[in-house]
Amino acid sequence: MKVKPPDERTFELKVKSSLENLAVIRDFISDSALDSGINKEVVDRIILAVDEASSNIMRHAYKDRPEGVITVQISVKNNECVVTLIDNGIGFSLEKVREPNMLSYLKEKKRGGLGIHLMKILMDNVDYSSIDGEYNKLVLTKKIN
Amino acid sequence: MKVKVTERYEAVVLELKGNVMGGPEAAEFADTVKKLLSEGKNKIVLDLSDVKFMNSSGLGMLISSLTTVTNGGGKLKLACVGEKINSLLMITKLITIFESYDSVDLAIQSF
Repeated sequence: MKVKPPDERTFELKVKSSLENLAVIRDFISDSALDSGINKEVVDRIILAVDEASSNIMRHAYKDRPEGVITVQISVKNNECVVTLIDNGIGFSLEKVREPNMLSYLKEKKRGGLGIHLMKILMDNVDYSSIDGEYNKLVLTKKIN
Repeated sequence: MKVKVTERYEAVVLELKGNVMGGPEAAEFADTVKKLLSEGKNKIVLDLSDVKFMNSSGLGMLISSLTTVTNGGGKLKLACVGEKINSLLMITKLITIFESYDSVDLAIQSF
């Protein structure tokens, strides 16, 4: 459900942690970012980064439990697009996630684990904070000029 | 994601349609690839012209398929990779491990 924006350039969406809602999140980001005048190529990158973040929350923070809630906020100001994802699931340490080795992916037929790497490549800044037992907050920032 | 399988000359073309995002569909796709190899059909083209969206799990599915086919003595090539997917392969540097062609015909001719 798309709710009334807290200010002129900020939009917010709250969805249940269900894989079908990935499409809802992608559409929300696409509509909000394009409405804010961001070019399509940049919007596509933001969509992919947010999709990776959202599916990680669903799979890892909420352990595939669909009753969890994900709040997605997108804000465009000062030549930056900032997407914030908030969940109340299990937190993790962003620093402990190692950069993937593509050759080992090929040799060991690994699947998954590329999501955070992709987010870091696609966005200009990725910041994660977690307050144990309360919430986790992931902030993805993309310069748009 | 939907997968349409067609045989053309000595190659098999797997046409992927929709969103390529891993999950149970990735396991089904892996089974399809293994079955083709077991039948001796080891020249495989992935036609990506109708792929709308691909995430890291979808990329993982492609990598895994490439490894399976290569280890099985076959060859897997990509065809009709759109701008968005191409950009994804570029930024992850995976473009170097896949052979990619502008059309299915060119991919088949390359075997």
